[in-house]
Amino acid sequence: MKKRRFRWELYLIHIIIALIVLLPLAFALISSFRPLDEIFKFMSPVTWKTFIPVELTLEAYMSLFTERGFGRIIFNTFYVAFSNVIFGLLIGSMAAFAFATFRFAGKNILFLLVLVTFMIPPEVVAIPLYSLVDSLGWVDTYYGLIVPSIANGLVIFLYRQFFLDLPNALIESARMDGASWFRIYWSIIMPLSKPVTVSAALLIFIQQWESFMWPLIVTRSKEYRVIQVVLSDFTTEYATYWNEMFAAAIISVIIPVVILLPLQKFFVQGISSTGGKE
Amino acid sequence: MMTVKNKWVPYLFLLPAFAGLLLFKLYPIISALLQSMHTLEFLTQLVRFVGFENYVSLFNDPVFWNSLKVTLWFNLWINPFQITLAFGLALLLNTGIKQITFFRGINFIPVAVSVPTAAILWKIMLSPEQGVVNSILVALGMSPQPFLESSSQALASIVAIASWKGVGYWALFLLAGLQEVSPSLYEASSMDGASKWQQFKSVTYPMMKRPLTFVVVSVTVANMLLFAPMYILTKGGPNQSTNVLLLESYNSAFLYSDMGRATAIVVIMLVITAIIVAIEFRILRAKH
Amino acid sequence: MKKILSLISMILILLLAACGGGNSDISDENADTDGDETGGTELSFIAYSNYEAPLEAVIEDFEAENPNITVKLELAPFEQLMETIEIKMGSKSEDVDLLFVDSPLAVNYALKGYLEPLDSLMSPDIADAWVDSAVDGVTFQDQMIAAPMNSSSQVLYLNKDIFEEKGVPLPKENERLTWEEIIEIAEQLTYDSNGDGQNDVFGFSFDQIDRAYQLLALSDSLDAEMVSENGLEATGYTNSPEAVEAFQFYSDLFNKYGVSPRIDRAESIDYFISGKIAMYLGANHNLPKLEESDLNYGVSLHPYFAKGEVATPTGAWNVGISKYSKNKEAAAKFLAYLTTGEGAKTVFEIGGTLPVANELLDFIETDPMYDEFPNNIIRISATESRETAVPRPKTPGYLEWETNMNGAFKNIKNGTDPQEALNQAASEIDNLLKKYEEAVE
Repeated sequence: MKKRRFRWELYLIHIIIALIVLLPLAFALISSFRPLDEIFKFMSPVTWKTFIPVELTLEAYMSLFTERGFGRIIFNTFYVAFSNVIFGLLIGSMAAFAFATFRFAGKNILFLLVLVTFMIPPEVVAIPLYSLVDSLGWVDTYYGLIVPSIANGLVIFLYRQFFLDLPNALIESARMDGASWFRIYWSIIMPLSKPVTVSAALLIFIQQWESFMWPLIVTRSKEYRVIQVVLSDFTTEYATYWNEMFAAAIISVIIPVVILLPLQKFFVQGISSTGGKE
Repeated sequence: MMTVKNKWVPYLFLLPAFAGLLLFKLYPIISALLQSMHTLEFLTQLVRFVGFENYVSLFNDPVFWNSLKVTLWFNLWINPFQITLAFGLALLLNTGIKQITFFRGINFIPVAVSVPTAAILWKIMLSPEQGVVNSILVALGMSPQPFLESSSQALASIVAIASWKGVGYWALFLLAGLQEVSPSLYEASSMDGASKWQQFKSVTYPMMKRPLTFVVVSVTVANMLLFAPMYILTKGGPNQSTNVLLLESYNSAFLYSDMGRATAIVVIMLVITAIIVAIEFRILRAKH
Repeated sequence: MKKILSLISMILILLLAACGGGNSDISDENADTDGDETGGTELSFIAYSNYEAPLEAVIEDFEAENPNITVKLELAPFEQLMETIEIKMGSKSEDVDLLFVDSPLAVNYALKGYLEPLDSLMSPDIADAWVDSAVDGVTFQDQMIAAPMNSSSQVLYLNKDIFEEKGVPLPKENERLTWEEIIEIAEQLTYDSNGDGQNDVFGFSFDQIDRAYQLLALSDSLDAEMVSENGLEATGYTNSPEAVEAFQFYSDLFNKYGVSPRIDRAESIDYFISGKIAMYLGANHNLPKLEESDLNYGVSLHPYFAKGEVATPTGAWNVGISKYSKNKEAAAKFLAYLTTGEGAKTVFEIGGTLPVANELLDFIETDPMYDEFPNNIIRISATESRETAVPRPKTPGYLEWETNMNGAFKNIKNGTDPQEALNQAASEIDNLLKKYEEAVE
């Protein structure tokens, strides 16, 4: 990084990677502007028509927002995701603080349990979890959508790694000054952990943005539908609404990207701090 | 690490998270796992304890052994592949070219694509008849490939699709680690006349152990649990070549009316994952 | 110490209050709709999302007639419907009253105790309202366990432009080609339209490629039984010489004659609409999508093997009442409304699917409205469903059978020897069917 010369080979590699990354998305974007019966028409052979819609229509997007109520769906998805982010960060970081700071009985066992929670496929626990949520009376409520996923083992794991790296001296001197443990956690540790908090928030957000089977099962009313459930609805028994599916896919990509891109810088710092400074 | 006078303090910090974990994660996990030792009787709906019968019948089932083989084979390829690519991409994204934020942004986009969406997009792209990729191959004078329709290419195609979505995500974690490596360390080593490779071995890699551990463990768990692409794209075929354990478990639970078999498979998977993760922790343990 | 305690408990309280608050708002809303106004019953109905429009219409009419019953739809996408049902019924949830039942799954659901027999809940002669084959599909141990709602059939759609371009005479609307003739015509209609050395127009394609629902018509035409009488054995049936011969034909379409594209079921209709397929064996249901497109198409009857008999696919959606429902009486009332009389008529008119109620089928066969193309497609389907339809194999392990067969069909399409693929599938199916032995004696 000392000499700044134009490194064309780096650009070339970057551009090739960018093409591979963007190719299917470009295809989805173009197809979303096509009328339904033209989507497969120009796939072969590859000509300019493969990549540029001959007939441009916003049909798919209009239908999404008018007939399928996409506005409400996006609101729901955000509501669920942000609730999870806020509560998940709070209780996850508290637990991680305990794991990283204290010596206590049963610590290894408890930490192992945390690891197990994200090594088990959610499909297998769906039936007992559904029974439980049903008996709590949370089926078809935001409660049922949000609460079961708040406690997140991966987030605890991530925070713990970061907290382990914080210098003990910091905590010791605060204790000398008579600060309570909660004060240390809230006023000393957390302010130092803004970067890791951003990365943990992204982790939770992406998980919720992608969650699908659980929202489908736990809600029955349309007013609680989330985006991935709707995405799966374009394949019917008899036909697939490719253009609407592509349009919804594009929206489902653009929204998080628009939100997440400005956080990119934070994100990088966030993770960097978990990666040990020796 | 601190020992506190009041021994309840640590548990109070753990309480909110563990209340959630116990109720919504561990209780369902335990009650599901107990099912691996039970069977549900038809008609009477009685649950009967069968001990290890579900495991014994799995070990006598060639379908299970094939799935185990496919799962291990899949993970043997995809994990090193994704980790190497993610590391390479992280190194690339850490170079000082001007438009680097732009390129970083592009590599982040697939992260926002959900696995089912990615699978469906690539299914059309890779369609053996007139799919976009084959059309490009034909235009370049090559012969079209069957991709997901062939037992020799299907698993590799899924590795590629999953990596398309995953590599950028994991690379961001590693990129962050790279930025932490102090430039002074590199300067010192280049004064010693170390080559790029020696520099990587003696400076970059040791400093990257922590973020790498995180990524290696997360990638392993994520790929052991990956079955949505197989479910959407191949249903385990062709000729069982993509029938990973979790797909077989899923089928047992939701298509074959056999929850006992489904959970027994998951218990075996859990044991395998735990062993692999333990080994990874050992190999990558940072020397303090 | 006290500080910590109070802070943590404060957070917990806040947490609970925040979520609890949200919850109570919602349950208040619900209470308004189901409780206070009517004091009546709310029924929950798990349905496949594609049927939203017709079902909402039926529900509206029903609720107008029965002000003390409301019906709430719980819609699941096609691919996730089975899974949703398994999870909800597997957890013995009381919040399901009615559910969609695919005909071949009726026995399985009954064995798992998901369904309440209808005989005690509905009037005994209600079965006369539907065609016999539909009733037969939902009868288990001499009891009706679900009520048939609609059905489906397949017709041969033709792209007239491709026939014209290649100068091949178009089959007539009432003509039934043999599979041998299909091959002959399809070979003339398969060609490379753009000169890139790859065929891009194909003579023939199934709609539901690789799926037992449609491909069973091949083996049915050669009179091959797929499972034993008690439904527990596949070996010797699924891989019988007749079955192998039938599915060798399926293989030949792709591997020997190359007249069918190796695509996926989800793409097939779009290939037909894009003008890449000349003859498309598709559901009566495809009609609306074809009408929306600019395609110049015609129709003909479902093919059969020259030496065999005429057999067409059929399969229906039925609706059952959950064994765990607390509102079985009300559910039965709605079910009768949905599947007979006005309700059945609404499902047919708005949903456009093939009815199973005799009254409606008679109407389709006689009313002049169905004389002309394209409405005659509905009449053709109605007639086929009564005269040539062969139901899918009756076994408690239908999903086990189908899952493995669909995989075998895919392998056969991609060149695996049919005998080998079917042997393999049959032995795996047998293995999976063992668990039902005790239940079915």
